[in-house]
Amino acid sequence: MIRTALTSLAIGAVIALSLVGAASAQEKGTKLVLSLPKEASVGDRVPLVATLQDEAGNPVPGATLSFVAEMTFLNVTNEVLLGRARTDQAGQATFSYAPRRQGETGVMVRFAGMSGYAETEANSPMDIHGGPQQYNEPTPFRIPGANVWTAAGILAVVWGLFLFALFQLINISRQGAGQAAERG
Amino acid sequence: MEAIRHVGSGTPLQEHALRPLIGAGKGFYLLVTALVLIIGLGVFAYFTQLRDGLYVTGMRDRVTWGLYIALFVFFIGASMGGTFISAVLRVASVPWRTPITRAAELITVSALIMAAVFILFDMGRPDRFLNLFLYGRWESPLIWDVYGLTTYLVGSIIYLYAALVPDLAICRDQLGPLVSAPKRWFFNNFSIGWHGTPQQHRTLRRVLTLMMILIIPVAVMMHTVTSWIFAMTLREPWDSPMFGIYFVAGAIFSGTGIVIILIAILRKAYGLESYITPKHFLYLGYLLAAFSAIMIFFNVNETLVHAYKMKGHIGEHFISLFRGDLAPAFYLYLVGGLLVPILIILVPFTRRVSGIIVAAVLANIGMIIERYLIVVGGLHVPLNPYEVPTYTPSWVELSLTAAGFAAFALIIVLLLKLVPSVAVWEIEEEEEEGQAAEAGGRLVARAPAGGQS
Repeated sequence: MIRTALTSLAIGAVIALSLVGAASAQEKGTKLVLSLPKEASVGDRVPLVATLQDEAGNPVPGATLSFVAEMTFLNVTNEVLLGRARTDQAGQATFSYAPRRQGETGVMVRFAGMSGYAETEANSPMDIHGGPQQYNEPTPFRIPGANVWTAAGILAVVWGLFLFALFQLINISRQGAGQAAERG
Repeated sequence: MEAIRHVGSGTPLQEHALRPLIGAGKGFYLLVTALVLIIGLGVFAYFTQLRDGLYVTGMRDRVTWGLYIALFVFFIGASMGGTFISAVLRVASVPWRTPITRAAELITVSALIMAAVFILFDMGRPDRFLNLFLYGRWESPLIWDVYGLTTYLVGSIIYLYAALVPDLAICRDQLGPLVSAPKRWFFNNFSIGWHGTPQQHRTLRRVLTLMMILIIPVAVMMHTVTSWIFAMTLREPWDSPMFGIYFVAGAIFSGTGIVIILIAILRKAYGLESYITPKHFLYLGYLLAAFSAIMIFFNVNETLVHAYKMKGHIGEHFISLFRGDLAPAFYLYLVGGLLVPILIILVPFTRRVSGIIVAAVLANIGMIIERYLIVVGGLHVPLNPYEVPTYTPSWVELSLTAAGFAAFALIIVLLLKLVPSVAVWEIEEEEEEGQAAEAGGRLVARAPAGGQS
């Protein structure tokens, strides 16, 4: 019965993957053309312009583009969504961005795909010059080891001990089976 | 009772503890029916919420958390009582804890399940629950709480199960033909071949020692991380480094209260007066009073420190608490939830089983109000210059609240039909050790002076 169930699951997975593949095969490739300023100053509003085109160079209207930048917090670097904009008839989307900290930052524009169009993304670096900072400067002092990876490590140790406890319970079962065999 | 004696050599303790597992009386079915009906109301309310969105609650763009999160925090706190009674008192080898550890462990597991359920209630799109694990941001205290809750729940289940194994073996041996086939299957398989051999005892002791030590920092971590969901935001009423210890103390306070309530019910329902004695209520009552005093201290400390500085909009928060719409709840919490329980336990006339139960009930009502005040009171202080928002729970939230408590009770009621309500093997072990110690003492007393035979 288990074999039948597993076989059915495998067949279902193959069918589903085939359908997804078929759907993907019908999607047109897309590309993003970015017109982002190379430089900006802290606090200044700059337009981030991105144009979405299909593989033939035709504009793709009505698509939602996400503008994303990388930020670091607690020693973990991750993407922060700056905002979203929809493309117009010319396939162009504009997002107004006011950088808050100086330094080199990478802005990525991402299209998650929609019916008939495949996903794509593009990025461009921007050099932000100093100006009046828009937020409190983070303290320059970092406590060694005080980051989320330390927490993840502690959690891993705890779960390891849980596994050890479970193995000990399995041992109890083996010891009982051994004793029953001796009696038998 | 006669049937048990026919199966094996059940002791009086086993008869009391195992009898409820054999069958169910009218009272059980009435209770389960009532709880299921309340849960049914909750299902209807949840369906309404799923269909129409969170708009059917009292939560809006300014007060984004309400009764669901308050009860999530309450149930996390309730679980701490179980851990404290079962693990901390076990580590300290406190002898009187043995008859109440099972109830405490059941409360921990049930409360943690309900805490997770209330998070699901608060999610407008529960189908996105897995996103917490797949796309969760490690930098967020919310994700720390998700992983912490999962860890605490798994650890509590392992701890509960490990302590259950010998009792399930007793059920397997004593109740075999007397229970239904599914229960028999459960006892046979989940007793994992326990025969009480010295080797098995050694292994079990190793597991229990590991888990009872490990579960304590996990529980403290869990409650601290839950407090960080609030303390690590930029809301002034929540801006306190004391939140961690405040939540831990509140958790032990409310958890102890729930253990008192449950053991009172078990004692009455299962005739366990010989094992759960007034002494247990007295000692737990002292614990309740001690933590009530600690909570009063924390409240005074936090209020005074904020009031001395009056930083930002904290004044609006105090107006809301002391004179505004939250004032009745705040005074009810302070007086009814903290002061009155202490008085009940300290005054000899009221320091009896019934009085301690009343104190426990008041303590828990107070703690539900306190969690509500933390969540909603903190959100009352606007971050932008707009008027103070209001929040009133809707019928959907109140129905789900009732359903949540009913589900909590139902989980415990159903588990008590599967497992003994007291840790039979531990109590019997203690009695044997006591008898052996007594016999050893009599032998020593009989030996004449000088060691002559």
